[in-house]
Amino acid sequence: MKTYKIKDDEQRIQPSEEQIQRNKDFKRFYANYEKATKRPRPLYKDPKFFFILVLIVIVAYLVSREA
Amino acid sequence: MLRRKNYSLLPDVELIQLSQRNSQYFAHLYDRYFEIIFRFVFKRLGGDESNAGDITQNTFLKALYNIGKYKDQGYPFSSWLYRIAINEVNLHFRALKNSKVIEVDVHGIRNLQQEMETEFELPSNNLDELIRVLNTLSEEHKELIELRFFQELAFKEIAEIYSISEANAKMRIYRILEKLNNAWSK
Repeated sequence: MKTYKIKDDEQRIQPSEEQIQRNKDFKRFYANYEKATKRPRPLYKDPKFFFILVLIVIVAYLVSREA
Repeated sequence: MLRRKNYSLLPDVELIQLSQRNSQYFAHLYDRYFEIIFRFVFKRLGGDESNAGDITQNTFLKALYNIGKYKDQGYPFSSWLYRIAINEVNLHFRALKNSKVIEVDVHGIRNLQQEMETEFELPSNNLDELIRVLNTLSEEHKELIELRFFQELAFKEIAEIYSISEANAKMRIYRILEKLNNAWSK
């Protein structure tokens, strides 16, 4: 529920040019859009993570053979 | 093939089609309409810059999410953006839960007062009384009054936002003025 009251001074409520420019930022806007819409890349598709995974499997295999 | 700088000269309908294929083209629509939507939200929030910025960004985000579903029905693209902005502002007020006091400028309230005087020959010059009766209106009616007298939109623009005829928009505003007049008379 909102109620109104008259602004005390005679000035009209209008944003200044500076306020408009401060808030107008397509790059930030688009980054937010991409963040919200793009799915994070699955870990197994990350080459670094994939390499580490392979390494762990090999080490585990070798350890199990030793034992 | 158009050079990049020429995209801003394209009509809305073409930019919308391009944006539906590639969201990067939405930059031109954002550029074209950011200011009017920001001004609109800023006024509706009574000059709250921080929230006006967030709500404007949300308005454009929702527009971009749904640009694929947008169908040209003969109304300007801006009326679609206005509708989203109105919903976003309403969501904002709803989220606040407690009542929110909005400051309106004297100019806007005088617009309304002048219209009331013309239509109903109200003798009073009492702006505080007008605010009192304005606060008794439903949210829906307040919204229409805001658009017409505080945002100073033309009947045609209001009609486009609500997807109604101009005559219907005029009629709705007139009925609300009548309601205000009745509340004033009490």
